[in-house]
Amino acid sequence: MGGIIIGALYPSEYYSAAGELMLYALLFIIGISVGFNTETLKKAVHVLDRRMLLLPAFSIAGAMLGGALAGLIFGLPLKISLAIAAGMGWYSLAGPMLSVVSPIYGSIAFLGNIGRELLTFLTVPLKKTGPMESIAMGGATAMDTTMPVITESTGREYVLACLYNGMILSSLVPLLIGMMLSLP
Amino acid sequence: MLLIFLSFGAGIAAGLILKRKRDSLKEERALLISVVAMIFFMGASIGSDPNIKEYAASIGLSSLLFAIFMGLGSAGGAYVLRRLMPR
Repeated sequence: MGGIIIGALYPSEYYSAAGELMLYALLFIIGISVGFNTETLKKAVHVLDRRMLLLPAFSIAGAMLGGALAGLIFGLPLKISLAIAAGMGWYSLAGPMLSVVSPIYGSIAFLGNIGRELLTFLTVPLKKTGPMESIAMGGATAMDTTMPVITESTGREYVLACLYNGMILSSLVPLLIGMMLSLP
Repeated sequence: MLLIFLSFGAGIAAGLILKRKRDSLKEERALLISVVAMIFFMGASIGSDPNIKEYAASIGLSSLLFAIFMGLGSAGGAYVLRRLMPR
């Protein structure tokens, strides 16, 4: 919240680059702590079981269902609701892709997917959800921005699961949004 | 995506090399500082978007509801998977 307020008061284009730089520094530090402890590395490989391999599919299905329900409440067309949900937290892609259809839908996709990321930041540290639920909630961002929060809350052995889930979802998001938008 | 894997891979390599000089307190401190700094700069970059106030005022509620339903939907999907395929 402090960051949002400072950003609104003193806007600058460098915040985004600084945030990205911090992300890479953070991934480097997480990498060091995983490398320090080879046991964590072994556990990380062990954690990638068949359930984790199926997690992206269930995560997408759940988000689509949630998106469809939210769209139903606001009377949005089903294909638009599904396309917004198909963003899976990747707001910088979902927003512009939906803006082609309508700037309003683009804005909802942008803010909705930012909100999803913020929701992950706020709820995962409470440790009320299991590792799989936490990774699923992070969606495509589980491999970058939300990964530190998820691994700190659930255990560093889940780092590979985060990367796997985020990578699969990130590669599917552009296809999924395109597919949903092309629905009749 | 390449930078993500490079940063993480370089970190693992550095961790394996520096294994004997491990200092968990410094490690935890560096992790905490970088998490807080990253979240701060992410927030600042969202806040400095000139359209964010306009967006938030006009479609804030629907976006908020979408965020909650999508996040909980994905977590629910993971819960269903956990129930269907117990370890």
